[in-house]
Amino acid sequence: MKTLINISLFILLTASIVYAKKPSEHIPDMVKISAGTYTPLYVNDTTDQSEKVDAFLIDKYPVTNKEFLEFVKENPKWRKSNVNKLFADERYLSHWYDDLTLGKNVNPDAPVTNISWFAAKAYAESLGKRLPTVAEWELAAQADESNPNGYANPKYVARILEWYSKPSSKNLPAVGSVFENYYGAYDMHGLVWEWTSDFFNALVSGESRADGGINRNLFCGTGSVGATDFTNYPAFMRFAFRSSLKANYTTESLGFRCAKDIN
Amino acid sequence: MKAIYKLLTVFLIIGISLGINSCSESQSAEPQKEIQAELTHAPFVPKPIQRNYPAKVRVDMEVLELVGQLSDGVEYTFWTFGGKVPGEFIRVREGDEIEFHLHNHPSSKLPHNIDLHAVTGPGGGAEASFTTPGHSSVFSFKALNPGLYVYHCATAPVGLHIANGMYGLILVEPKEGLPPVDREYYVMQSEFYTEGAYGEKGYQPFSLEKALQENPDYVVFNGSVGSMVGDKSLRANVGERVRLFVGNGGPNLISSFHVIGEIFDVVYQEGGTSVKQKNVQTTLVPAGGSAIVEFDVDVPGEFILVDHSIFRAFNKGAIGKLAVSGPENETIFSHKIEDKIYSGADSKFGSIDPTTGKYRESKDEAYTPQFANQAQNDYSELSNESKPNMSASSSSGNDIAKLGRQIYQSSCSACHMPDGSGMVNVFPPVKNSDWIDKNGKAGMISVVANGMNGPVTVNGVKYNNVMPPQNLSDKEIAAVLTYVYKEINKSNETVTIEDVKKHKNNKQLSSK
Amino acid sequence: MKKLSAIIIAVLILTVSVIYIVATETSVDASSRVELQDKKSEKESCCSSDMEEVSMSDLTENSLYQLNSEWTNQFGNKINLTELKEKKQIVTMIFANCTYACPILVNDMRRIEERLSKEELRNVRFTLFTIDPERDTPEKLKEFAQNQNLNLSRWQLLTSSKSDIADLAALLGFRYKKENDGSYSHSNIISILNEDGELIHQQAGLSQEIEKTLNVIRNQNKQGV
Repeated sequence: MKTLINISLFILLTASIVYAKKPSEHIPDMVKISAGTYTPLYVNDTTDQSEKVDAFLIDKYPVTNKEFLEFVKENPKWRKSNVNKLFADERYLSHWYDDLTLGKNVNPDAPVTNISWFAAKAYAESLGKRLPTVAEWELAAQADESNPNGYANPKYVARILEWYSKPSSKNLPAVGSVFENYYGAYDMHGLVWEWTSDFFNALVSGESRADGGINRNLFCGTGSVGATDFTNYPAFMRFAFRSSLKANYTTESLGFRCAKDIN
Repeated sequence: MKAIYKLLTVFLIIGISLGINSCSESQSAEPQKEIQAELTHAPFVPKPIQRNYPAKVRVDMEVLELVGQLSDGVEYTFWTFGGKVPGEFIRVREGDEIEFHLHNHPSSKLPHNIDLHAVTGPGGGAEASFTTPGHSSVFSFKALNPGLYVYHCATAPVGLHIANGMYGLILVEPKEGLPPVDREYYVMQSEFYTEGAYGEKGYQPFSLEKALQENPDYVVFNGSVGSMVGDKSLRANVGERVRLFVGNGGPNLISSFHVIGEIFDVVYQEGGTSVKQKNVQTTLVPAGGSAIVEFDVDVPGEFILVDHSIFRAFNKGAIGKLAVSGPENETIFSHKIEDKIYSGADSKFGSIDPTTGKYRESKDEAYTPQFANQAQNDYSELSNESKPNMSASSSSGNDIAKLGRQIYQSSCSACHMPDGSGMVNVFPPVKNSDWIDKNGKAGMISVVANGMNGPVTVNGVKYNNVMPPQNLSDKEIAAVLTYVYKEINKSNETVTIEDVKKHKNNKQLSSK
Repeated sequence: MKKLSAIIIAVLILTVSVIYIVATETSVDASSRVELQDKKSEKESCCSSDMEEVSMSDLTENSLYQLNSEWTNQFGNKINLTELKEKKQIVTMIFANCTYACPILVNDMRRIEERLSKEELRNVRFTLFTIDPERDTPEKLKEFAQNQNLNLSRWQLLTSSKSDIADLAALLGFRYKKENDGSYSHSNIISILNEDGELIHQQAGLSQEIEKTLNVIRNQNKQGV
């Protein structure tokens, strides 16, 4: 009897240990970005230029076609044929054959593109996550392979510029194929552009040569706006790209990954 | 009857005035038909505008990012208006209302827009045309001013968008049109900045560092090295008038545009319409600006277009060709008529000293050719001997003397003077020198071989100068010193090669 | 002995099933363990299809009210976005602590109000959405309305969650950014929504000519929509 009790207790103990480990099921797919400061490209120069960013979790990889397929299976309103034009334009998931089938040469492990901000947001929320803010994304992307501040290395900046300059490839490779950065996040550069929750905070008009000063007529703002680093061309390009977007737009080279607060 | 005539006259007048009205410019208040603009790739331009009224014109321009060839074996990512660099040529008329459709291909990674210098309005259309990949933007503008204008992308970072090839030309013809010519071509200069050096093969990424330093690897016409050479040369026939619409996309450099072998009969400076300069060899084309040049071709041949900042032409690719065919005209240009010898005997210059590369001062030091009159004795002596013996062991006195004279003339006479008298307080004499008497052969050999510096008194005169060691072979030292003894000092002393070998390493002697 | 082994086997089976149940339950937990601040997604995950059919069926395809978001007005009352239907809405987004443009924007809307006849105004409402939900409580909004002398029978001020505000701003093309000092930099856009909540006109910039906007409002009236 004693041995029996011992054995059962032992088994129950193991079970509870296993159970305790289960909640971290999602965490292995996310990495922690430590708190830091990020200097935006365009700043309000009457206040401190840098923005403080609290520590947060970010997906290791961009969201893949396979993962998004699971999402639309459970959320019919986000299927290609159902989605409302207000929330995604005509080219939403245009690389998928139909609502639930990927296109012929589309790699299921490639990052999902041709999705709008609304769709990305809905996906994130379905998993209890959210989109990263621009500040969070930029902080995570600042790192190169070995350093949290990779932008201090001009060769890294040049590499990013090269990635950005090449036209987007029709058949994107699987996630994890470009590079792993200091934090353990993959492909922050070189694979796809990524949606952020506040991409529309770029208060510029599309006339980039006038962007030395905020247009007081079109925007209410407490100071003037000036670029901080005229040689960080990749930052300009991301900034320009974000400024051109509307929330329901989709493009072939625009995907996303999720973030989450640290509890 | 008179009444009928009056009535007819009235109707006639009304009819004529209506007719005049329909042809006049007052109809420009309401431009009527919409025309689809014809766009062309360089070096071709759309046909001249035939209509004499303004119209609504629609321009459809597509932006495409693609990898193309910058030079043989060199690939680069170009961002283009219309698929090529430079962008397509747009041709409209003064007063036209242009509806501009900018399409950004879905495969583009970046948003783009357009700033046309022909536009009067904020950003030249940049804000109105800011377009995400996979979208189109439409805006309209009126072509108020005629002229030849640059257009380019103005999305941040602007320098990069221009550097990658996003520029082209739009011609707004004046109301009365341009005078007719036989050939019109589109030539646009620009630079490219690559990580690798000029010509380095393979895919080349953009180099921001070089762009900031304004130090390009490539300066080219129409987007690539060799775009207008060989079978892609521009063509014309003798007797034709050629007009070039020249643009400069930059992003940084100004062009000094010149056509080798031609003179621009007329230049519309900076692409304007009324200031015309005539008879110009080289005209400036500002970065982000243009010029229109016209010239008649009178003779056949290859006429080379260059940026006369000449290293760009020959080392960076700023070269193109205009091949003109037709009959020759010897009066205007004759090609080479004759090729003959020029001995230099009647030259108003002296000769070059082979050791220093400098001109000799006076004509008396004129180059004495080997086989001229002065050396005839030697020559005849040479010819007497069956084998002129130049070996070290058996050196005839005459060979040595001749060699010695040559070396003295080329190496020594500049300072010590042809007659050996030197220059008081500057260069000591070698003629009747008490120093030579005192130090003899050994001293002379040592000085010639090792040089000499420091104070020395010769014939009671102080000298303090530097004589460099002479780079002469043993035989040559023997020859020149023999010459100094025999010809300058009229002595019978000779210096042999063995003497030289013996004393040349004795540096002590030379320091006295 | 047989009894013992039977008991052991039973316990083992029990443990294995417990582990299995626990494992499947956790994945359900994660998806429902949603941030409670975001009411909308909670609604979606638990009752999505049903709720949508009820309120969305009569909304047109281009209606911004499809967001179906919950808002609170200056009196603390809950308002669903779909309740803005049936009247034309002249809207913009502000924050109460704004010292520069927002008062001017509101004034521009007031100028429109003044130019419309009583007849026209019956069908028109003015709605201000805040972009600063943390500071702009219903009380703050009421204070703002009083300071600006707004006729609350025609004007309302609404607040909601950050996420819902962002969604609405996205549909309106309204851009905003929080600055380090807590203020916001934002677009200056007045938007007109028709009775179905479709965006029919926008006026960007301050103290703009309102003729075009007035025409849009009036033309819609004439069509009897």
